[in-house]
Amino acid sequence: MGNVHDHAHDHGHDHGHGAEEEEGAPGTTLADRTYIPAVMRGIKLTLARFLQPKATVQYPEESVYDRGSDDRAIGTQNPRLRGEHILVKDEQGREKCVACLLCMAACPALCIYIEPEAAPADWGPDRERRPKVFELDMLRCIYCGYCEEACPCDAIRLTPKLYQPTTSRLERVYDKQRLLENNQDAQVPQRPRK
Amino acid sequence: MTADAAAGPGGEPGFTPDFTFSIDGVTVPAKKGDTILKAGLRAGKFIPHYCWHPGLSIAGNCRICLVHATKTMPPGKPVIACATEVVEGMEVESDGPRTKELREGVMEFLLINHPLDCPVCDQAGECDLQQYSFDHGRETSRFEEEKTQRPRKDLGPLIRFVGNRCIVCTRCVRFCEEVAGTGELSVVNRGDASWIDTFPGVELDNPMSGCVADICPVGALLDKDSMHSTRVWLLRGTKSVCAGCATGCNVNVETFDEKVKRITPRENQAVNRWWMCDAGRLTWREATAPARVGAARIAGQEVPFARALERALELVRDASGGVVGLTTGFASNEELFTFQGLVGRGAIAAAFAPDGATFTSRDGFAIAADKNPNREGARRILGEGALGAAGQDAAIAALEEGKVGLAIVHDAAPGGAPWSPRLLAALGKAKARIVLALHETPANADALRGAAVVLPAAHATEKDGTFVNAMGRVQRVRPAVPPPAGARSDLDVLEELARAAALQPRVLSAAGVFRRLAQALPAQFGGLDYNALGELGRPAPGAGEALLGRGRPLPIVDGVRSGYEAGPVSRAPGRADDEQVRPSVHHESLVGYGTRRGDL
Repeated sequence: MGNVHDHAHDHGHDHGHGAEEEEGAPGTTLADRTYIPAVMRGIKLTLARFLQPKATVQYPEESVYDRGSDDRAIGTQNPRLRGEHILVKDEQGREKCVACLLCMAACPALCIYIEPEAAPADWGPDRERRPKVFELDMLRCIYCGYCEEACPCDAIRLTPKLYQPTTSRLERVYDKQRLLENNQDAQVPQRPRK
Repeated sequence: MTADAAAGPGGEPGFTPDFTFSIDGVTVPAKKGDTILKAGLRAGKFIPHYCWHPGLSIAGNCRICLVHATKTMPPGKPVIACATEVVEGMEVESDGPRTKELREGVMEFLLINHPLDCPVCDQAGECDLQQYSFDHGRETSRFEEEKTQRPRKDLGPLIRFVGNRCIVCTRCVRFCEEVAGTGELSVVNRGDASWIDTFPGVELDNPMSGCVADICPVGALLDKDSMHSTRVWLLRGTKSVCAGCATGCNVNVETFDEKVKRITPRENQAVNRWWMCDAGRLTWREATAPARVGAARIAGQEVPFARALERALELVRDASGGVVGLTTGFASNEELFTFQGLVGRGAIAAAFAPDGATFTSRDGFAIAADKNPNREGARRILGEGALGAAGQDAAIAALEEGKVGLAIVHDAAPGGAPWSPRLLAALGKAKARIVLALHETPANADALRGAAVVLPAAHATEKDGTFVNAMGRVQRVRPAVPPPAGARSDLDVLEELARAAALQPRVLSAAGVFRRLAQALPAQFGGLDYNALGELGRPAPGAGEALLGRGRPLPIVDGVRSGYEAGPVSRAPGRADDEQVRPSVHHESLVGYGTRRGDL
């Protein structure tokens, strides 16, 4: 930073005094006119940076949070960060979603599409319906969490998993299976039932 | 505006007030014998109700319509608005803090045993219990004990009963007793253990059983056909007419994502009152049946629709010799009129679906034996000569002469039109054949086989036009969903063919064709204006009860404005109220047709 600042100052000075050149003023000395010290300073900076650890993060293979950076601008990942969704299963392995379509109604980005169907008979009398199709367009999603809030069954949750880049848009439309399997290891705190 | 239109749906054409009384300080006219609720609804003053329905007798058991009124006995005691007769000068308080307290109390009682399962309940979104709970209910429940559990079972082929949701308003019981006249349902048990059930060994399988799901103010009785298929707040209603029989019940075709989800009745006191039959409810499935002709064909090969239409236009342009036309009682008036113009002086035959089950309810609602929605229209437009066997014989004679260059077959009948085998055999004698078909079945397979061009025909839920019901009432049928992939509606196709045959300079919309039709046939359609047909239709010249022939004529009853129209009651009225007529033609094509948006 110091170098850059000095240079800027010099330049400003030069410019300000344009015509009336003084003896020994910046840019008139031999050292300045050969450029050698300036070039050496530049090389020194380059070499110093070259030997420092790299700041580049190989996204998406690694994340800024993996480094445990103490840079306050990056900080640590908030455990309450709203990332990709999961569909939760109950103790018996049935998806909790009853296809009430309230998340679809609450979604301001219109990124959820659900088609309900009657639940299989062997699911027992407590479950009447389930989603036949559950599609979530992660590209349209604004990660507001309204779906999670609207869900009466605690079936859709946002996890801290950041969205991953893909090579096609279609891959960002998650179907039911993918949402059920998505980030199952995520430590999502279970909310107590009312 | 005629008296019919001024009265509105369910209105009373000859209403003359005997005296006035007041509700919340507003002066309301009333007739002697009116109840507070009925007179209030007529004047647009809505009082909440569950058990009261304009088409059923008064039960007075839900108590949500409690109001305070003067001139009652004993003075100061709240009365139920649905069963209390008004007297001159009565002052009713239906919206004050005292009344609110009453409703809060009633709501609390009703919700004691009602489960909080709105997310999985198909009624949610059009549920009176939800609505009044929101309007008048308490925020939380004070009830800490166990809720009673009641059965959940199928009452009949179309109706599922979810006992826990039932508030025992007995609308369904009264419907089966007083309207259907079959009386399958009854309240069983007493107190908080009472619910609705069929009598032992009886099923709820009368021809109008679906109506109990419509009138159920909560989610206790559900239509199994549309159960779990969507949520009601997503549905968009199109005010159309059922094509299941010649009664022409007014219906809402409810769609989501360009798919029909269900068909529900729409009140029209001159036709179907508040009801419709179960068969009519399921007619939308014809449009998605496996037999549906989904793609256009040239000589049996599936091709894009535009190419097949191009080929059909060529055939019409190059046609030499006579033309023979076959149509059905499922074609709209506009289609029939254009079709008639297209066939010109050639023979034209209309086939009709055979008579089916008929039923007349105790309140006069009739399911016609005639299963063709537009037989009366065909009679008025094509004339008696084209109908039935006479028409088919004429067509056979023309075909067997061997001078027919082009046969045009318009078969919009579900299951295929029942043309006689002789006619189907004779069809082969025409040099070329253009077929518009809804379904491909053994009945009409011979007509499709060997056709130069086959085009998919539109189902009634995809059509824009008019039908004439058995009583001679001209009613609009409106497109709720687009025709199958890439296809254009039958009327569009027929109009294009007529233009190709140099019969007319341009293609008209249904409104345009109807205008010409009304001018050309004054005795049959004179004085009718397409845009003035409105939601309830208009009687055509010569319309009357005599035309029905079978079943009893439907009387125009001394009804009041229905609860459906007056407030947030069963079947969310606002949903279908916006008049959205979707043009069957893409707006960019209109320029090419020389038609303006206003024509559609």
